[in-house]
Amino acid sequence: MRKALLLIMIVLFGMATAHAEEYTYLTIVEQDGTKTSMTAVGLSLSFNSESLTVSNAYTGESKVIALNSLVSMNFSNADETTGIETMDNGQWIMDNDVYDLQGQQVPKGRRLVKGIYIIRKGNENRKLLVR
Amino acid sequence: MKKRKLTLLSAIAMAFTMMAQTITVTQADGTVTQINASDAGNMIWTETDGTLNIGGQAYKVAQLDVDTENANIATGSVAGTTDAAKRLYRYFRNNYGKRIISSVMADVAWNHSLAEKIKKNITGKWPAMNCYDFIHICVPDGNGWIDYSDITPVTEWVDKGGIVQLMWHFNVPLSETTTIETNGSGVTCSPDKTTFKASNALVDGTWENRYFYAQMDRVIAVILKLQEAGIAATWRPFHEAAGNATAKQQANWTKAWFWWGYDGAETYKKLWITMFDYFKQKGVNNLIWIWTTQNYNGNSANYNQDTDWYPGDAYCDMIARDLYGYNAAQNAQEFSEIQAAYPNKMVVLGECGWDSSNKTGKPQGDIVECWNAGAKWGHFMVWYDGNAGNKSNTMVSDAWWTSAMKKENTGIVINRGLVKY
Repeated sequence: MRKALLLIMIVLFGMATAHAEEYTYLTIVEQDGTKTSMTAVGLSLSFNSESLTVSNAYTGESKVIALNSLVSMNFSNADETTGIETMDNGQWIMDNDVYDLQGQQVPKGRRLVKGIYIIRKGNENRKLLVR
Repeated sequence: MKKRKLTLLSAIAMAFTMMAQTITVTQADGTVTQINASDAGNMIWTETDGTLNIGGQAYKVAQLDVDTENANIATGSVAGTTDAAKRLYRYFRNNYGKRIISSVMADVAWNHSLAEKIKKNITGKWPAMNCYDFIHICVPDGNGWIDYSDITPVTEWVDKGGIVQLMWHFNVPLSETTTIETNGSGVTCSPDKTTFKASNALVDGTWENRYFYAQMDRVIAVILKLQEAGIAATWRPFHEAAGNATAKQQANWTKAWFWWGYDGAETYKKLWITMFDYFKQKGVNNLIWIWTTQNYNGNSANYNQDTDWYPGDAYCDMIARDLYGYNAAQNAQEFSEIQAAYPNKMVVLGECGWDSSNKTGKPQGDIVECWNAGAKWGHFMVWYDGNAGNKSNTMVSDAWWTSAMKKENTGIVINRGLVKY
């Protein structure tokens, strides 16, 4: 009886793991090796003749990539973003446009608390990890 | 040992409820394909021919969307084709089964004053959605107390990030010769107080038919104004249609309590579809349609389900149930039954509150307890009560709101500050 129960549980577990894979990120790889991981659920990618616009309305993340620099994309559960900037909490933001992951702009001059932010410079976004 | 078995079984159950993601690929020629994210592999871009290889297949991609799988739930709205409606439907769908959207009724009709009470008097948080009612749309213009053509009560809610729900207690005159007064008197929704016949509303040349279309035109004018302002809404007309008609023991009182259900299921479905088609014909494309199933407060022991009253998958996006005085286990049972009956639709708690016959009696179960018991409603909506004697003037206690909106529950309950779509 116990063996039968165990067998059922193994089958159920196999089915569950076979069907349920929830990825946290979609990572975009560019020709120069840059990787950008963006929150997967809610992501929209629009292609036109020259560029790819990636945005997530739920988190406020967005990025525009020239198609001739696009290499590939993959789902992952790790943030593979390269060139992520880090700083210690409590510092002030003076010059850049900084947004939280809800898309709310952090007013200039405000101290940043721990978390991940997006720095926008023109069409370029970079992640900022505040430790 | 028993505990360990239970833990393992819970882990398996959780694994089953984990949701994978789906990629919706729209190609340049309009072809739409859905692919499981887990099957996508490394998606390689080929610049020379402008294709993206997904799971071994090359696509000329125009648009690619990543969403929670929710395998059974329709990926698109039946009539919500504006950008705002698509985004709103997608937001509901992506949260479905993960978190519940909080909401509250207006103080009767065209305001968000109860939401404000909940925020300012109790919780410090706004409910995510506010429900407005066209119950007074029939009152002649220039009445001095309500003006639906002024959409400020809605735009100011949306401007702060809130979601909009619209519903309609569709009032009709007491008779063909009744004059609707500027104070709103002379109308009713109750079939026993009017000579208005639902079946006649579908017959050209009748006064009921003229009134039916004239009132729809008044509502459409407001909704189009919202649409032009870029606002989408969930839309819950003709609710609780079956009333008591599905009672297992039939008696002289086992009838519909709203006129739109009084002439039976067939007439009711025609009314729904007529409204649906007319709204589309008039260019209304910003609504997520919600049909409210009714078996009298979820009492399945004494009432049959009203599946015969369902207008059909092509005419609604969500299924609501109105429950009063139901605890967590009962909420879970109702949710499960409805989801099983309508597996490809999102199921929502259309109205809730304490048992209206005795407000100190059975309360609505704590919403997080309901959720944890298995009632994964897409949203809840608490009804108003001006005589409630509490700080919110709604049909739940202040403690209920405090629990629902507290910080620890933001992983389950979405408040307005968390809404983003």
